[in-house]
Amino acid sequence: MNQGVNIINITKRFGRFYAVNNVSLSVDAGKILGLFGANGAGKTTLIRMIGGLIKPTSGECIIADGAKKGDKLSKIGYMSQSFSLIEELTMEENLSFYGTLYGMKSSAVQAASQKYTDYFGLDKFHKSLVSRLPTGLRQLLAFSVSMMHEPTILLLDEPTSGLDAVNRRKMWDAIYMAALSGTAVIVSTHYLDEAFYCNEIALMEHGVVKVHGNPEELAKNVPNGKLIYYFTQHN
Amino acid sequence: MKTWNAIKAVSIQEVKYIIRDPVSCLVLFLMPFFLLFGFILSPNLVCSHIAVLNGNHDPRIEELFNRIDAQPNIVIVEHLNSEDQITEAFTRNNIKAVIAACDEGTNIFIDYSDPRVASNVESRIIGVVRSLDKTQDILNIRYVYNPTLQPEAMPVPLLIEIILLIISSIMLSMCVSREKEQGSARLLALTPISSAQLVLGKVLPYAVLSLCHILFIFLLFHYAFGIEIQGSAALFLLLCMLFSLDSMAHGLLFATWAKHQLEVVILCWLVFFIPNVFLCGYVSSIAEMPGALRVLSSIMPGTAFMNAYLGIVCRGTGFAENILWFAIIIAQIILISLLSLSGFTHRYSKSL
Repeated sequence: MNQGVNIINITKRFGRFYAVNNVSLSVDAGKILGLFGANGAGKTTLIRMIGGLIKPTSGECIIADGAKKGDKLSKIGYMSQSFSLIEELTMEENLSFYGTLYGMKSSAVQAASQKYTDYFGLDKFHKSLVSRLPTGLRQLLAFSVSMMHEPTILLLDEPTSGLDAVNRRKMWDAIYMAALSGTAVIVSTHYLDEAFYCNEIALMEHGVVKVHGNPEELAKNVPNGKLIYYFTQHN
Repeated sequence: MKTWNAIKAVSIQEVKYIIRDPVSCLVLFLMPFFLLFGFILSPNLVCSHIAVLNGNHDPRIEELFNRIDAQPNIVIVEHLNSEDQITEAFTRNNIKAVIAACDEGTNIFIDYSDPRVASNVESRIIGVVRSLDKTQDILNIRYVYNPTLQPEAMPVPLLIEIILLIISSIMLSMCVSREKEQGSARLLALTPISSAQLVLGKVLPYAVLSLCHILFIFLLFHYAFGIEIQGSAALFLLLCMLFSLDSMAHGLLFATWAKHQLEVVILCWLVFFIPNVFLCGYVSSIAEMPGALRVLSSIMPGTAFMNAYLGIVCRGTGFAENILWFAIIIAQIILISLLSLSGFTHRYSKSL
């Protein structure tokens, strides 16, 4: 049974500008779909439409086999492109706050909170105000918040931007961990080398999916196996 | 020439900024309209409604009433038939004074809940009486609703109104728009919490804080200055809570539409705070305002609060006599809340 995401002919138009134009994609449970593209390619708009933050002009996005609105939201984990946790709360308070909003019991919140702080080595920052944390740690915390209610769909909008190599690796390990537990992951990124961490990739340009498939298969068809070719050949 | 080009470029950039930024437009182009408040700041423009009673149908007294009615800012709106009607008259028609002529002499009853208006009415009535008959010495002045003539009682309703407006509308809207600015609103919108739950959760601390401030002000004035609530204390608290809720509904509306904290603060001050404080009838009589401001004043929650406050706290009137003011506030709470909540999540999550 597919518990993932089915995106069917989805379009978002702002006036005459097509941010996303007739995109159809699907991700099964336990798989990772990577969205690639330059700034303004439509990756963020697509992710926000999947999450329900933006209403599509046409088309639809079926999540977790058509879950209804309330259910749908509890099945989604979302990490925004820009940091979006509450800066006036500590790391621990943020985890507890969002866990409660997702309807988790306090014991479950505590367990999930412990799991991610241990995994990312955030223990010593537990009582620190989020506003005082460096960018890398904020990103890791935002990922923890998006995962703590064990969503069936994980939407990650440029989760590795601003991270150093070590934390980038840690983040991708955590994404693998989520996929292995059966979560369907959609992740957008600028880094083309991250394409090979995904089961499937979609290269977007001007709101349209130009190329879609398995990254290794796609790489075989281009000179030097470099995916950048798919972008440069259009410009 | 290079210098001039640089100055020109900066000026053009600034003009474009002003034109393309709605808040800058609002401040720069709407500010001159605030000159209209100059009309209501004039201390001489106070129109007062009064009632009269001529128990003996004395023609000399009738002449006195005609003279008083001819005064530019005093209007006789009611002719009473007996002394029993005097107390009742004060609760109707916003009457500021009653001149009652009977066998024992002529009495003037003055509503001293607003000392500024009261002293103005008093001096003008006495002036007319003296001009009619230099030997006139029959005046017996009685002050109602503030018999000890406490000036401290005067600023209380405005202070309460200002505190509730600041805490309920400005602080709440700043908090909501800060979340939009930080981006946490977007994440909140993707949790299973409903708009109503989210709004209620945000409003509750401000409602409790407002209530604490109201109680503090009243305890302070009760023990420091001896001011008491003539009517029902419960009704007064209900009025304060409803006014606070109304302000919160407005604050939420501004916060959901504005993009930045600065934008929401300017909106709250210009569109809500200043008009409510200046047009509530405290700074000057509503009857003397220009037509458009009078209409605006009549729908302002601040005006309804002020009238209901004077009724409940000073005159001891009940819910029935103040039903119009309560109705205005409740209608606004419903209307503005619906406006704020419709598409709240969508607009709220439209972070930067």
